Amino acid sequence: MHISDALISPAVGAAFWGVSLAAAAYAVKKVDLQTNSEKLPLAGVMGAFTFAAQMINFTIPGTGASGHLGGGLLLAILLGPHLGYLTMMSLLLIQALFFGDGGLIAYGANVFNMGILTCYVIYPLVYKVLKNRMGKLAIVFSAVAGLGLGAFAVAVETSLSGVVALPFTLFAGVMVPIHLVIGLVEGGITLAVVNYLRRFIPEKLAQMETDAETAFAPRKAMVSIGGLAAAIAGGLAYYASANPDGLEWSVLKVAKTIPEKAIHPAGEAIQNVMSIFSDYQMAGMENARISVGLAGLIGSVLTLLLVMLVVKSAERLKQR
Amino acid sequence: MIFKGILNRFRRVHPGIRLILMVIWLIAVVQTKPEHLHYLIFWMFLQLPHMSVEPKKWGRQMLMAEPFLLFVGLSYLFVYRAPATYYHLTLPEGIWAFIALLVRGNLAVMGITAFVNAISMEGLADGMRWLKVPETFVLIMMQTYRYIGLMVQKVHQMTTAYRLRSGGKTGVHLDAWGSFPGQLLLLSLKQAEATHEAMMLRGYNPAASYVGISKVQISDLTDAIVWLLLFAAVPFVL
Repeated sequence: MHISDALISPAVGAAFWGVSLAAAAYAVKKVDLQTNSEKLPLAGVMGAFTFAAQMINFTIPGTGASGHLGGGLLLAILLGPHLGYLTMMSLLLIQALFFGDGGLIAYGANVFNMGILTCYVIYPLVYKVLKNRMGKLAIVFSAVAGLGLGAFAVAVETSLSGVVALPFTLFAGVMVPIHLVIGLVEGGITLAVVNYLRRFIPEKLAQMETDAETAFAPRKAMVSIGGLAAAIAGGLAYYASANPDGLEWSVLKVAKTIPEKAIHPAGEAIQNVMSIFSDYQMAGMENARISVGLAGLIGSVLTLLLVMLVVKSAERLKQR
Repeated sequence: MIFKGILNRFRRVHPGIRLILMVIWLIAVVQTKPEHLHYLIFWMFLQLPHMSVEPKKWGRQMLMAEPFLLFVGLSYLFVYRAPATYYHLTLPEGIWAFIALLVRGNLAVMGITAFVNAISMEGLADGMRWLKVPETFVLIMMQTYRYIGLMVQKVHQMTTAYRLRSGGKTGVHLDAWGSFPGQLLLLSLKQAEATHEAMMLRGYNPAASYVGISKVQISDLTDAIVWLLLFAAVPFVL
């Protein structure tokens, strides 16, 4: 899971450094060591524990591959997302500087994959939402989702850097399934550790979990991440490249042309009626860049509404 | 004797400056193209003054980077098949790309090792504080580093206790795999808390800065500039 320096371009590395530092600045602001000094030894021990867990590679049967734990979810559950994120950042730095695992240019990307995605995306939006509905299984499900998302991010980062020769879909298709299996093991171990602590230090663990949960409410996380998504879709899309995407480029290279007609005419007819923002453009808007930005913004809102609808429907189905 | 003097001089360069030099080294190395691989040989010589690590340790650290490098690099062999000539040698482009990736990846690890291993953990914290890294982060990093040692000690104690009770069996039995890490965590936590409480009673304040920030001397800057000039001269001279 750790990306080394040779696998990432300085430009992509710098972008992820920026994202990780912004999140770190926010986390540092939120962590008050003056009033919560008793959490410092816990953070140190948990950091060391996660460090040790990441060193142990286990074989994934039938794949010929091996994997190791991420540990971000465990840190977020026990320390809260802010302190958990800072602990993950610090242990990844120790690994990069003293143990040659990961790299310094790739540090931002590694922090993003194993820290931000687990502490600020999976923990508030998946674990906390599922915890009351699925009980203990929420930990396993969240670990699988976290590692899968991290592996997907690795594929995106290395592909953006231009170091991967394979098509993105093929590379991601290899990376993600293996990490879903590793996620199952990680989920099992995280569950075992949390259960053990729940059994032997129940009051302390309950306090830790309560502190962690009040640190970052799902609603607040949703607003923050929603804002970030809107900024990317509505703002950064303005500067998006007009060149064909990786898949189109690959098709062009192989077939020398992109087929105009769809294989299934009925499907094409449905798509023509349904796609109101064809090619991410708003109909009737002359400025193409503003049009892309607006379409992106509306698309983000629609995606958010669709996800909320799916979650609500699942809840109702379960109540019946 | 003169060479030893140069070595010692470079090893004393301010940790913050060393971190900056390390980033410059890494950016240059990872961007090196197959036709410029010979730069790396000369840049490696420039690493010598920073080195204080035995080759065995490098070997171990480089091994950590190999699996992913091989996973990505091997795909080059199948995808890039057009012939390419570098250094009067014609090989498939994929082989050149694979060699370049392996060399770059390993030298990046070597660079980090060479620059950082001459710095102690306290020196690194000093350098990070000089680079305006927040105190909170530096404190957490130092705590994590210290507790890695504590945890190793506890693992040793627990495995010894386990071995003595297991009646001659080797390894940790599968039944104990769940309780072993849990117990390890509890024991480490107990000791860490006891240490922390003792520190608090002695007047330790985590919010107050205790990581010193040493000043950069003119000799640090001149040494760094000499190193950078030599480093930057390589592509122009060759």
